[in-house]
Amino acid sequence: MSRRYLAWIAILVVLTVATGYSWYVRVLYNLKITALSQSSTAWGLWVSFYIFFVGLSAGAFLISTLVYGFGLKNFERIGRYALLIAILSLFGVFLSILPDLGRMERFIYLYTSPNFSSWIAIEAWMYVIYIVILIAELYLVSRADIIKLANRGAGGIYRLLALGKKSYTEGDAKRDATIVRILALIGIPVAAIGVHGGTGAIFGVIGARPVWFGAYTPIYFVLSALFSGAALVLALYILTKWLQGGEIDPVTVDSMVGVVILLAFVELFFMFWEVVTNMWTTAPTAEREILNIMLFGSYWWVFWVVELLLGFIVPLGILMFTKPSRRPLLAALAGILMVIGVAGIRFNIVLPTLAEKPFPWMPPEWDIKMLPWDRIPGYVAGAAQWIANFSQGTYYFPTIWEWMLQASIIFLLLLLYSIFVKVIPMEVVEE
Amino acid sequence: MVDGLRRPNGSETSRLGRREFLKGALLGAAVTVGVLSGDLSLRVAAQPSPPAESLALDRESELVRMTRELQESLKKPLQERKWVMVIDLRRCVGCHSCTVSCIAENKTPPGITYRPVMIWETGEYPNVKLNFLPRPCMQCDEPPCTSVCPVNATWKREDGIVVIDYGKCIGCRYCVMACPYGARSTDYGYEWVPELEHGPLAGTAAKERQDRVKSLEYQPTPWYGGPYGRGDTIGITRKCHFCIHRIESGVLPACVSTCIGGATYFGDLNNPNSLVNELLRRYGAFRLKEELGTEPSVYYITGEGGASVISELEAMVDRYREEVLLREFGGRFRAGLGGGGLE
Ligand code: SF4
Ligand code: SF4
Repeated sequence: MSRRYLAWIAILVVLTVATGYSWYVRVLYNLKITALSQSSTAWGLWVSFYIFFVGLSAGAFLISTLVYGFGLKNFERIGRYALLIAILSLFGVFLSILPDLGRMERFIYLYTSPNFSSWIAIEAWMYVIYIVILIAELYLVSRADIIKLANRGAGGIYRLLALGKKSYTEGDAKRDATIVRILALIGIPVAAIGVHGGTGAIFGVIGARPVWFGAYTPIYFVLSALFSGAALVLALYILTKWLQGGEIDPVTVDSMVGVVILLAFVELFFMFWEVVTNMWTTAPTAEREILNIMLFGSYWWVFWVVELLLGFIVPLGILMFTKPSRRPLLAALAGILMVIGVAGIRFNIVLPTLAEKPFPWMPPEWDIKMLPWDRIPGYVAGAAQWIANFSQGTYYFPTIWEWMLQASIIFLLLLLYSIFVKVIPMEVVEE
Repeated sequence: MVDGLRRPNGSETSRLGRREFLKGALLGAAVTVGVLSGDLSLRVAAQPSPPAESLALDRESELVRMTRELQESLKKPLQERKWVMVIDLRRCVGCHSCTVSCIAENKTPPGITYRPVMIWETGEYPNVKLNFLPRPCMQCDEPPCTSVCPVNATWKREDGIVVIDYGKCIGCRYCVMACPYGARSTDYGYEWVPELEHGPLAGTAAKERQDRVKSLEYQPTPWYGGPYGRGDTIGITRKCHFCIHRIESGVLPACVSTCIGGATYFGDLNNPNSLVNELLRRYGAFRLKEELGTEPSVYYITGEGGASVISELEAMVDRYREEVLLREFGGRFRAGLGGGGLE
C-alpha cells in the first residue's frame, strides 16, 4: 500500500468517527435533532440523499452493463468499479433512509408485513433482489482472479472466497460469462424500472403533490441516475488509480468522458423543458408556483449555483476544453462536481414541492414546532436557534446534525470503497 | 301573530319573521333592550329550561339529539355505520375551542394539531371579512393516505374512520405526503413545557409524558390499533380519529361537544333521520378538494351568505331574542334544523 493511500484511509477513518457522533445524537433524541421537527416540511436532507444514492447505484450498474451485458470493450476496465460503486451506493441508500424513519427499529416491518400497493414497500423488496444480482455479478466477474490469488497464497480471504475451487478452466470462464450476461440483462429492468424508476414512482404517484405527480418523475429520476452514476464511476476510477499509483487507462477515460458529456446534455435538455413548460404555463398552476420557489425562492442557490454552475457549466467546460486523458485529475474533479450537482437536483426534487402548503392559510400552530432547547447540547443551542430562524414555517434548512450524519455516511462509504478496491481484484490479475 | 306561534308540531321552519315579533304590541320594550344590551345569559338563565325536544334551535337539544342518535347507531354492526361530520361555517366564530379541546382530549404534543381552524381574510379595507374553516381529518372514503403505507399501519375501518396503528407505524411519513389536506403530522416528541432541571417547572416534562400515555388515544384499546398495541407515539405519524374512543363509548367527539358556536355536527349518514342527514338535505354542502375524488366524510355548510362574523353575531342575537320572546308567550314551536335563523 502506498503512503498516499494509507494517509487517505487514515483521514477517512478520522472523519467517519468524528461525524459518526451524530448517529449517537440521532438515536438519543430521535427526529428532534432535524429541522423537519421545526417546519411543516416532513421530508428533508436524508430523503434527498436517499434518492441520490439510489440514483448513483442504478446509474453505476447501468454503466457496468455496457461491459457485461453488451460487451463494449472500451469500458472493460471500469466494469468492476461500477459494480462495486453500485453495491456501496445501495448501502448508502439504506444508511440514509434508516435514520429518517421515526422508528428505526421497526424497519423490519417492511419485510414482515409489507403492503405492496405502496411503492416504498415494493422498493424495499426490489433493493433485496437488486443487491443479490449485484453481489453475484461482482463475484462472478472477479472469480477467476480470486482463484488465482488464492492459489498464489495472497491471503485467507481469497481462499475463503474461492469456495474451495483450485483451478479455473475455460469451461468455467465460459459458464460464468453466460451467467453474468444473463444477470446483467435481467438487472437492466430491475435497476431502471424496479430500483430507480420505482423510487421515482414513490414521488410520481402522489396525486396530492404537484410537480412530483406524473409520468415524468420516474423518467427524470432514471436519466439523472445514469448521468450521476457515469460521472461518479469516471471520477472514482481516476482517483483510485491515482491514489494507488496505478496507470490510468486513456481509452477508458476518453470513452467514459464521452458518455458523461452525452448524458449531461440529455439531462440538461430534460431540465430545460421541465422548467420552461412549467414556467410558461398559461394558467397559474401550483407547478408554476413550486418552480418559482425552486428558481427564485429560498432555494434559489441550489438550482443556480449547485445544479447549474457546479453541476453542469464548470464540469462540462473542463471536460470539453481540456484533454481528459492527459489531465485525468481535472476530469475526476469534473466528475465529482457533476455528482454534487446531482445531489442538488435531488434536493430540488424533494424540497420545493414541500414548501407548498396543502392550504395557503394553514395556521401557524400547524407548522411551527418548538425549539428543541431541552434536548440539544448547550454548545449547539446558539447555532440551532440561528438555523431555526430559517427553518420556521415551510422553509426547511437542515440542522448541523443532519449535515453531520449525512457526511458520516459519505465518509463511511468512501472508506469502505477504499478498502474494497484493495481487497477485490479490480483488474485482471497477471499470471 | 300569537296564533302564528302556536303552530302545530311540524318540523317546518317557522316562517314568522323576527321583525314582526318585535313590532308586536304585546312585547315589552324592556325585553328587547335587555337582549340587545347583551344581557342574554341572564335572561335565558332566568327561564326554566324547556324540555329538550321543544326547542330544536337550542344548542343543547342538538347535542342531546346527536348523542341519542349516536347511541342508536352503535347498536348496529360496525359496517352499517357511516360517521360523518358536518360543519356549519355560518356558525363558526373562529374561537379555536375545538382545537383546544382536541389537544386536551388526545393530549397531543406541540406540533400536532388534529383540528386547526384556518382563518383568512377576504375583501379590502375597510370592507374586510374574516373566514373560518376548521379542518379535521376528512376520513376520506377513498383515502389516498392508506394505500401508500408500506407496512399496512393505516387503513380505513368499516365505519369510514381512517385509523393509524401507532404501534406499527415506522415513521416514514409517506402518508403525510399523500394526504391532500395536511391532516397528518409527525410526533417529534416535544413537550409543552421543556425539560428543565431546576426551578418550579423541573420535572414537568416527565410528568407530561406520563400523563400523555394515560390518554386513551395512546393505549392499546379495542378501537385503535391492531395486534401491535399503541403506546408511545414519538417518531410516528398521527392524525384525527374522530375520537373513536369517545364515539364507541356513546359520547360525541370532543370538538363537537365543545363547539361554542354550535357549528360542528356529528352523526351517522346511514341513519336517514339523523341530524346530519337532515342538515345535508336542507342546506347545500360542499367538501374540500372535491375534484381529487377522495370523497371526504366532512361536509361544510355555507348556506346563503356564507360565513361571516357579523351576520353570525346578528343571527345569534336573533335566536336568543326569539327564544326569550317565545317563552314570554309561553308558546311552543319547532324551528328548523341547524338553527340558521328563522328566515
Ligand atoms: S384527510 Fe388525509 S389523512 Fe384524513 S383520510 Fe383523507 S387523505 Fe387520509
Ligand atoms: S408514517 Fe406510518 S402510517 Fe404513515 S405511511 Fe409511514 S408507516 Fe404508514
